[in-house]
This record gives sequence, C-alpha cells and structure tokens, in this order.
Amino acid sequence: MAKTTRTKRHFRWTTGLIIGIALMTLMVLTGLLAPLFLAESAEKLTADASQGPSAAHWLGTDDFGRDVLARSLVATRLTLVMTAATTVISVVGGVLIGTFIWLAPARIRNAVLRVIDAAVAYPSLIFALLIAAILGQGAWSAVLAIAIASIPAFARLTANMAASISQRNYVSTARLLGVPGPRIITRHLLPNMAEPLLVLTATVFATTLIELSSLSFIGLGVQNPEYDFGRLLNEALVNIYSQPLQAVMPSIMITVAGLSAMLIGDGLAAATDPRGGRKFGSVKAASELPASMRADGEALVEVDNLTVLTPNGVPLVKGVSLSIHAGEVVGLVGESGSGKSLTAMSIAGLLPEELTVTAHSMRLGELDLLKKNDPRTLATSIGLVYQDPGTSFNPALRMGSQLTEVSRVHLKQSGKTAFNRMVKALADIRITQPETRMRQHPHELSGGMLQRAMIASTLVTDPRLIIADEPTTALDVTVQADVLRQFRTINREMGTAMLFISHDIGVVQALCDKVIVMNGGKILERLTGAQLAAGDVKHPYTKALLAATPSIAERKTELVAVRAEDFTFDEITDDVPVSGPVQPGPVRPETERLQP
Amino acid sequence: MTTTPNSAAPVLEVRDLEVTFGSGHAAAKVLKGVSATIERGKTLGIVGESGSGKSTLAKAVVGLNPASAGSIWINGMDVARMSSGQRRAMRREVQMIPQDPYSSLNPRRTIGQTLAEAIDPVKSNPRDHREKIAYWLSTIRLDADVAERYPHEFSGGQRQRIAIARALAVGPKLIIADEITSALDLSVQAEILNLISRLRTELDLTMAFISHDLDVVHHVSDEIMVLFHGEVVEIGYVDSVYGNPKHPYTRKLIDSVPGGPGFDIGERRAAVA
Repeated sequence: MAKTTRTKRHFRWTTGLIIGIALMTLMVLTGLLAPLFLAESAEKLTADASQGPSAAHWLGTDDFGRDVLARSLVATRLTLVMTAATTVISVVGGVLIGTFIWLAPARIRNAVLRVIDAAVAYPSLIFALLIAAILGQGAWSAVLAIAIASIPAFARLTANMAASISQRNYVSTARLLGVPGPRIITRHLLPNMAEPLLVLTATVFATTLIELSSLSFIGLGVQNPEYDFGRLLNEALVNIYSQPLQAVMPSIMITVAGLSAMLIGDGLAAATDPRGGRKFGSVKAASELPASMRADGEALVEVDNLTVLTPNGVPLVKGVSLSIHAGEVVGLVGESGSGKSLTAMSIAGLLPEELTVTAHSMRLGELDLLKKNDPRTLATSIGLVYQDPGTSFNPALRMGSQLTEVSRVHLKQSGKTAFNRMVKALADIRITQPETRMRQHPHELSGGMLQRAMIASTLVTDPRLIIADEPTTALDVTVQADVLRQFRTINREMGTAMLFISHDIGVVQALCDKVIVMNGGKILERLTGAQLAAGDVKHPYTKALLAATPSIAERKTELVAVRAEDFTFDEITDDVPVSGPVQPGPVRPETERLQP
Repeated sequence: MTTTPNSAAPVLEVRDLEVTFGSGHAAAKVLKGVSATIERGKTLGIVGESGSGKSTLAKAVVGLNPASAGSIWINGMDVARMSSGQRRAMRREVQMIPQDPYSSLNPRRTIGQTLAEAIDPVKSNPRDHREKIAYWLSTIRLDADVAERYPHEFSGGQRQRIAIARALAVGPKLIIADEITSALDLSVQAEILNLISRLRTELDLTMAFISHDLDVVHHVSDEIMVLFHGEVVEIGYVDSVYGNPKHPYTRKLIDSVPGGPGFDIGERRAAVA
C-alpha cells in the first residue's frame, strides 16, 4: 500500500578527504607508538650536544644531546592529546550554550547572544593569553585557556544553526505536542546539525593546534620537562642560527597535523553538500528519430519529437511535438514531473547541461533552436516570465536597472532610452507611478506588481513568443485574475504568441486558446480552451484530473485521487474512441471502518 | 464556566481577538477584532489572501501568537484565565497540521519515532507504542511496517498524511489545518481532501481549515469565514456565502476563481488561426 522510494545517500570520497584521513592516521599512530620506542633517545641526556645531522641522529641533537627527530615524534602524543581535549571542551561547551539558549526566554537569550557577540569580536588568542596568565603556566591551564576562548565562536555558530532549525515546522510541532525542551534539543536540533558541527569541529581542531603551540612557544603553555611542538620550537629558537634543523621538524609536524584536520573538515563539508554545479547545456538534432506527423510549416514555433534525457539515459520528455501559431496562447498543463516545464525550457534553451536534448526539429520563426544561437537574438525573441516574482529579482538592485537590462545589453539602447521605454511599458500594463517604481527596490513592490513589471520587461524587446512558467502560482487569487487579464490584453492588442505553463486547470482553460495535457513526459491530449472548460475531454487522464479538482461551481462528494503513473497509454487523436480502463483512474476503496 | 470544561460549549470560540506585532510607532495590528465559533464536529473554512491574518489567527489559537485584546475560549474555558497546568493540557487539545510536508517531519527520525512523540511526548520509544502507531498508520492507509522508515522515503502526499496522523494521534479536540494542500499536486490534494472528508465523519473531527484556495475550502467546510486585512468581512454557511456573497470583497474573491461562474479576464483575441 505504501509506495516509497528508497534513496541511498552516497558518501563522496574526495582526494582531499582521503589524504587528510591518511595524514591524521599517521599522526595518531606516531602519537601512540613514538613514546613507546623513542622515549629514550628523545629524553636521555647525552654528551653529543648540539650536533649536526648524522646517521645516528638524522636531524642532529639539541643542547643536551637529545635526538631532535625523536623529540619531535614523541611530542606528537602530548600535542594531540592537548588539542583533542581543548577541542572537546570548546565544542561541548559551545554546543551546550548554543542550543540551550533556544530554550531560554527571549530576553535571556538575547542577553547571552550579545555577550557571545562581544566575546567573538575580541581576539580569542589574546583572551586565551589573559586566561592563561590568570591560571598560571602549565599544559592544562593552556588547554583550559584556549578551550574557554574558543567557546564563544562555536556557541555563536551553533546558535545560528539552531536558530534556523528551530524555525522549522517539526520543532514548533514538537513544542505543540508538549515535548520537553531538552528532548527537543536531543531529538530535533542536534541530529539536524550534526554534519556542519562535525565539519566545524575539524576546523576548530586545526586552529586550536596552532593556538596551543603558540602558547607553548611563548612559554605560557607546556613547561619543562614536558614538551609539545610549541615547546620544541621555543627551545629551537635559541639556536635558530646554529641549529636551524631543530625548528624544522616541529614546524612540519604542526603543518601536517593542521593540514590533515583542515582537509578532513573540507572533505566532510564537500561530502555532505548535495549541491553540484549547474551549467546551461546545448541542444542537438536527433538523427534517427522519425519525423512527426504533427509538424506544421505555418506555425511560429514548431517542436518536432523533442526528447530530454538525464545523464543516466532516463527520458524525462518522450517525443513531444507541438506548434504555436502567431498570436496563439498555448497552455501546457500537467502535474509535477509531467515534463511541461522541461519542454518549455528546451524551447528557451535554458536546460541544465547534464540533460541531453534531442529533437527532429525545433524552431521559432526562421530561428533554428537546435543550433547555438546568438544570445542576443534569443533574449529578444523569447520573453520569459517565471513563477516566483519574489525571487526572480535581485533584492539589492533597483527595479530600473534590472528591468532595462535586456534593452541596454542586447538592444544597445542608451540608459535614458531604455528607462523611458520601460516607464511607458509599465504604464501600459497599468502600474501606478511607473517612474517611482523604477527607482524602488523589489521589496517595496507587492508580488502582483513585481510579476506585472516582469511581464512589462519582456514586452519592451517586442518578443515573438512569451514563455510563462507558472506565472500566477505564487500570487493571490485576486492578483492572479489581474495578471491573467494583463496576459489576455497583451495577446489581444499586440498579438504576441504565448506558451503558458500551469498545473491549474482553471487558469489554463480561462486563458489559453489551445491546451496540451502532459503526463510522464508525453502529450496525452490536445484540446481547445473551450473544450476543457466545457468538460469535453476524451483522455481518461484528463477526465481524472477534472474529477480530482474541487470546484466552487459544484460540490463533489468524493474527489478522484489520480495516480499519474497509472496512465501510461499514449495520446489520443480526434475521433478515436479510447479503449482501456473505463474508470477514470482507480478510486480507492474507502469502506474500511476504523477501530475505536 | 471558566474553570471546568463544558461539553455543551463550542469547541472554539474567539471573541474580538486582536493580535498586534511590534509596539509603539512600529506596531502593526494584524487581527482587528476577529470573532468566530466552531461547534463540535463542524469545520470552519477560513479564506483570505496573503496578509489577511489567517495564519496569525491559527497561531493565536494554538498559543504561538499572544493576543493583545479579546479572548479565546476552548471547550468553554478562557485560555487567558487558565492555570499553567490547564494551559499545558489545552495545548495538546488543539493540534495544528502545518503547510509544508517537507519541513514538518524531522528528517533524522523514523515515522514511528515521530508518531510516538505525539502519543507520549516524554516516553517516546516507538516500541512502547507499537499498537497505537500501527492504528494511526492504518487510519491514513499506510502499512504498519513504514514506522521503521525515514521521511525522505515518502512522497509529499504520504508525508502530509503522516503529519495528519501525528496531529490525530494526540487525540485533540480541535484540528487546525493551515494550507495543508497548497504545496501538493492536484492528484495528491484530492487524496488528502478525501482523507480529511473521511476522518471528519468517522472521527467526528472539529476543524479550522485555512486556505487561500476557495475551491478547496468550498469542498471541505460547513461554514466559511472570509478575512480581509485582519477583519472578518463575512461568515456563514458555505452555500449561502458562495451562492450569495453579501460583502463586495467576498464577491470579488469568488469572481477571481478561474473557472468559476463570475470569472472574466476580457475578450479572447479574435480570429485565432
């Protein structure tokens, strides 16, 4: 009954991550083994003081005749232990503070956040020096000093992440369910920020290593007879001219340890980031696909046998042919995954590169859309209107510069000409105070006004085709009616052809002259807007869609739950009666009674 | 009347409710004296456009937005005069189904863990609640073994059904459904609306159904309330409001529904080839 898809998340092993883990393993092994085997040569005082490199002492000896290489290797253990301890304290402290303030009342939370802000603004190393000076010299006071100094930064980052997660619905729902605060943290907050926290921890490890070494280097950290990398550097400094090799090994060790932690951090970040780069791709003509019978030489836009494939060869659009005549409004209607947007974006040449687009032919007027076209010709021939006016404008720029971009860049108009033409276009589409609007930023305009401005901006280049991808879906219903009225007016007065994509049958039947119903990457039925409005449809899928739509015009006792994947049969052409399931989609039996 | 639940009283009564955000000069009054009543077993549809205050009203009823004036009565008890213990109990009696089925389920918890948390927020080990989890999954037509799975393995419609089951599992007196179908495809919307219709009769649900979609509200509601800029412009039985709207805004709203009887966007272009 429950149809689910199991998707496995692949962990992406990058070269950096592998190198980082290998180096870190080497460091940890050194830390474990070196003190067992090299302690004597590292710590026993001998008469061979301040010697240069030799077969017995590869990097020479220090003032007391101890082997420099052995000391550097043995020091790994103490350094790693101290760094790990510091990291653990600062991470645990930071996470506790960063999450628990979300349980505190807003007033306390804000006070704590301001204190953290102040602490973050103060250089942590100086803060650590202060704490170390108060606690006195010694390895563990250095650990404590650095750990305390690192807590604010970690707490701040945790608090930021917790802030965004605590806005999510499952957290507010848990509150409504009466889940106690600490459990909200352990069940809902922490698991959902585990990955970024892990990445940050690796970074903290690297910086902590540097800071601890610095403290030891200036004499505040590890004291004789103990030694870590920083302490070794401190000893090497005295002899830097006579025994330069003494400083080399600890420096290399610090670099390698820091580098491996950073590589692990970056590698984890890359492995957990699901986003990849997207580029715009090219289109090629299909060589072997048969010519469709629906090619129409008269039409303005003609698409013949369009196929879109994923990189794995999965077809998303399976041989779609359509034509749009001059002055015609064609609607593509279907549910998500039906291929309607992919079809439209193939015509606009805006599909991601990883998709393979083939077609027998695809043209707009005399413009062959299968070839690589001059972006200027494309930009002025096709006007695009997107779904969400709130995100299709750059919030940092004024409306004017964004709306006139195409005119200035592609039509080479001067700023003033472009501005004036845009003001006129805005006025034409009944936007009040068009000149003021041009100087405003997107957030100062309502969603409906932004969408109308976007439509106006596509009109100034006098395009031959407007492609509108769900242009009213994000709008309120009264605003939607207004925007649809604008589309209708433009089409009536300027005769611009339109390809209108929508999932809303009501919108499509009201606006479009012709309607193409898509499902599963195929066209199932072609209708006129009037036929759809009258319910004069033949394909079972279209019938089922109509039966699934609640309407204010009639109260349906039961809606038909369509399952898009149940409709696999192809397009029906006119006057051919449909065989196949008589029922418009399976009606789920709802007879089963519930137990009290 | 204010200290004990009253079974004859309406499940929800909102009287002259005002909600203000900010204070002083920047204060914005989002709800301006809203009154509404939902009787036991009835569904009130709340429609309005963005900024009308419908989600603010929902959040005020569940206690996420404080009321600046007016009162909210649940089962005949004034929420403002409840003891903290009563208020904690009341919180579980009013459950909200959120809009987005993708952000309403914790991706790191199994469906069983999510439902167990609704059944008992403290001792929420799914093994202790196996029967109840299976029962609520069967209510939404899912097999009991899906309790072991994680949200990403489900479609949007299935997730929304799980979110509905989570709200029901608390055993609430009142369900607030806030735009629960607006993120869904048409066919999935039909599935959810059918589920809601069935549960309304089988479990005698009392519900506030908020949506911007007049078609959807028409389908599920007994009564309907039209909000505009934080005020109730019209309230009444569905058929009378849709059939004979009294307020010009209601008329405009209904005439804006594509495919509705009053919808008009101007003449088609003449002579289309």
